[in-house]
Amino acid sequence: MSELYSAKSATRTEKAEPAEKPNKKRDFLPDHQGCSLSSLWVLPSKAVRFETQEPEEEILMILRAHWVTNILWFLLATILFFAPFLLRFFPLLDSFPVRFQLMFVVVWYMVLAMYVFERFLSWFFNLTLITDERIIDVDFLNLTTKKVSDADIDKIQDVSFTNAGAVGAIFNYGDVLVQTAAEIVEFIFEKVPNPAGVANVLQRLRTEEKIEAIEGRVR
Amino acid sequence: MEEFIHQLLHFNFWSFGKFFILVGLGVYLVFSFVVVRQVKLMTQVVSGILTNSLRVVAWLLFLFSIIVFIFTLLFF
Repeated sequence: MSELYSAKSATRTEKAEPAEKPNKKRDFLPDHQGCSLSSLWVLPSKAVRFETQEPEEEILMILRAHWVTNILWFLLATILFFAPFLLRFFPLLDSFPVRFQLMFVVVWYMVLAMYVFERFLSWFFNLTLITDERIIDVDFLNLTTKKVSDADIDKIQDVSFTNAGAVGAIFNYGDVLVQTAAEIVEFIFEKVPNPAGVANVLQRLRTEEKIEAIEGRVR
Repeated sequence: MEEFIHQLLHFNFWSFGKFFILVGLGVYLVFSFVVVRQVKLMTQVVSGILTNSLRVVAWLLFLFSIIVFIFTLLFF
């Protein structure tokens, strides 16, 4: 009991003057490094930062939906790209003046370009950041709505994951469900690659935070 | 009255079509501007990942939509 009390009081004193966090080698992080277009990017470069990042906070992982989840819209976009070429064989627009036919093709590709860009942005900015202190969930709901929520690692109560469906099993992606004691009680990282690995990282970080709290190295 | 009948008889269906195309392109123009703003905001939330490339693509789409709109308005 006295140990517990001393640990708590140590935590209080350290909170007033944050201690330098030693540079750790976290062997539990996945080996796969990734890049800016990857679904899983481990230890991204220091140039990557987020809005509410604290100076000492380090981004450990950036997660997005697995790239396989983009195949459907990508195939659709490819088909739509070649669709105007079919007009040579099916002269649907021949009754229109040439300028209208030309405008139809221009507008078609403009809409297609916007569709592809919007779908890409939707995938690209729907991401989860795992830092050594927090998890940050960025949701790009549509072009006018974004939602950013975060929770401290030490507020995590439960981490579970699912590998749903045949495609999910083949490509090893699924949902990671994080329940927290923070304001946002539930975080779902949808269709992220290697959900078991991600859940493991979160569990290990949680343990790390607990040890830091006991040792009095809480920021 | 005669003028009205004359206009009805000589109504150009294709100018009506041009009007609708311009309305559509106007909506597209506004939409592409929203995309530019949204990309700017999102790259502020998370910076350092393809920030410049995404902004350039968004601006190119917007500029292209302006060019097409003006071209349609003047020459179509």
